[in-house]
Amino acid sequence: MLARILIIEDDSFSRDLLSYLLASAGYTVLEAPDGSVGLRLALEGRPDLILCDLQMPVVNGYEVVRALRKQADWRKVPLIAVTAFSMLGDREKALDAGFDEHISKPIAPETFIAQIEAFLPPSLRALHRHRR
Amino acid sequence: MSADLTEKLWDQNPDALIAISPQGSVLYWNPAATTIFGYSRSEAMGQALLELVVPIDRIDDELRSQAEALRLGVTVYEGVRRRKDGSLVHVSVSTKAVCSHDAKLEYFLFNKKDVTHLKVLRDAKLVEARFRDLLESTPDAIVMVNVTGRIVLVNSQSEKMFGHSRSELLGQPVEVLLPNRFRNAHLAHRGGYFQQPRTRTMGAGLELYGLRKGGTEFPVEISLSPITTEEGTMVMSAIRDITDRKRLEQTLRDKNLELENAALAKDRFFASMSHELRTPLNSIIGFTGTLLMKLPGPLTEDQDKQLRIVQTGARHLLSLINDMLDLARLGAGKLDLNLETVDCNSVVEEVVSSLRPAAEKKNLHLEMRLPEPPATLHTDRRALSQIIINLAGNAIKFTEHGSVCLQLEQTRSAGRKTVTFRIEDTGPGIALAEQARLFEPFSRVDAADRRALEGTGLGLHLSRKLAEQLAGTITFHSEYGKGSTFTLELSEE
Repeated sequence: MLARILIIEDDSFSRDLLSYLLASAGYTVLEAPDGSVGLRLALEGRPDLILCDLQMPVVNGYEVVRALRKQADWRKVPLIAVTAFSMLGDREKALDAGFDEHISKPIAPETFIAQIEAFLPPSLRALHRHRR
Repeated sequence: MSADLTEKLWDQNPDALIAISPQGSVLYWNPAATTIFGYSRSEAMGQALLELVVPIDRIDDELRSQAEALRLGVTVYEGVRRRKDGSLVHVSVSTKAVCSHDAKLEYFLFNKKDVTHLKVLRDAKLVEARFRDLLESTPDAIVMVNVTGRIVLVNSQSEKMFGHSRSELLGQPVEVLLPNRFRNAHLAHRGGYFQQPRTRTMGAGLELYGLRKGGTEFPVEISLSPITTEEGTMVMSAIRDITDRKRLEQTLRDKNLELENAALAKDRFFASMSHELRTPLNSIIGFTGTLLMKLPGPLTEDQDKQLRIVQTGARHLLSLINDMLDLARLGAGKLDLNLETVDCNSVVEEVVSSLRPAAEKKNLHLEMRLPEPPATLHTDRRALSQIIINLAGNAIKFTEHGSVCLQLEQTRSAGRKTVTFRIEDTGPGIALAEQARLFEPFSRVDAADRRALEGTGLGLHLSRKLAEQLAGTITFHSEYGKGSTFTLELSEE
């Protein structure tokens, strides 16, 4: 079984892009257009990894990560910020809030899957699952 | 004369009549004593006279005069006494030691005449003669006060400033020139000042206000100087109306706040602009990438070629956005430098390893010469790295044959450490005519050159601006047809 990955992203084009890349690699994808739906899907869908935009209506990415990190069983699930906030200090801000990684938009589609797989156990990876 | 009449005369005596026990507590206190000192008879009776009306710095004088009275029978002297409200009065005192027939002290009897006003007139006469002409010539309002805190001299600038005439002010406690809320504190401070008089600014760090005759207040700055005369110490206050300065300061503060807000708004604008420009580029670069990765299916040769053009264009746009935002923030002084000890060798190594693929693609030798031990600087790593990437990237872009060499040197002279980054290529060189405009934005050398168009046209301009932020310089030396050398020099104490 490959990992289940939740995408929380309000820009539908960006969501489509991530979803398409992940599905093409063989992952099961859950999609949420804002943080509040994202939180609900996280609890219902039990994803192995979450990609989350930062600036979103209703509940933003920082609020999502804080809400999830408060709960014991969400402390270890990899949470990756994928955001167009990429000015000096934005990365630190995201990591401080509790994200494991900060990937800035525009993403590089050629290397994106490898970037996030660094945060998945080998058995759940699409690309490198048979190595090592 | 009957005892009744005697009592009545004592009560009617215009001067204070006070008797104290040998231990110093009040035995008798007539109505004039109440008028002069402010304490009623019942308040005064039984109290220690010294504590009631003698200022701390006058206690020795008082005791000396009592001892003298004991020795001589009667003494007369003039001095300062304190009223119940804290204000000072000048009194002329006759003291008599009344003893029993066996020469044992029974009580002291004092006759105290309030000569405050006489003293003011005397002091006024003295200082008028000595200082009046001098004080008229100063731009500040000058108010002189005698030892009892009464005004003895004002210059005409004071009359103008406070709206009172000279005769209205003469003899008044100086507190009439202060708003009510400051009067009590001023009385207390004034006593302290006379004990340790020295030239100083009044209420340093406090907001002081003057009070005009009409009741309006104005901000003032006051400096105090003690003046020693044969009539005792007086205090000269030089008073300056600082309404205009206060207004100017407020305007400056408002302006500063406005500028801070504007800078903040600009910061937010840059952040939003960066965010908003990157979001659509994400779809463009992302989906161009998935197509070129052939995730949706195979591409024809034309499709592949055209998509690569879209990709190149989009990446170019991204570099432009990044450079322009950096420039805008530089211009606004908003590029936050993160100063730390930077290992310059490792910066060069990182740049070289990131540019190696591009150099290898063109079969160029990419060399570096690094000092041992490594050169270090207290600087911003990101800015430094960006400058070296720009310079070395240009060198690789424009050189078709030969080599690009990054050389790092650290030298010391006269206590200054200088770190020099030299980027030398064997490219076409820069024509003399182009050299002057090289660092201007969008001044691409030979715009017909396809390679020049790959860049944003901001690289060198931004690099020089960044170098200025790091207190460094970028210079170059180039000979047309033989290659160029760009040099970044940074130094520190």
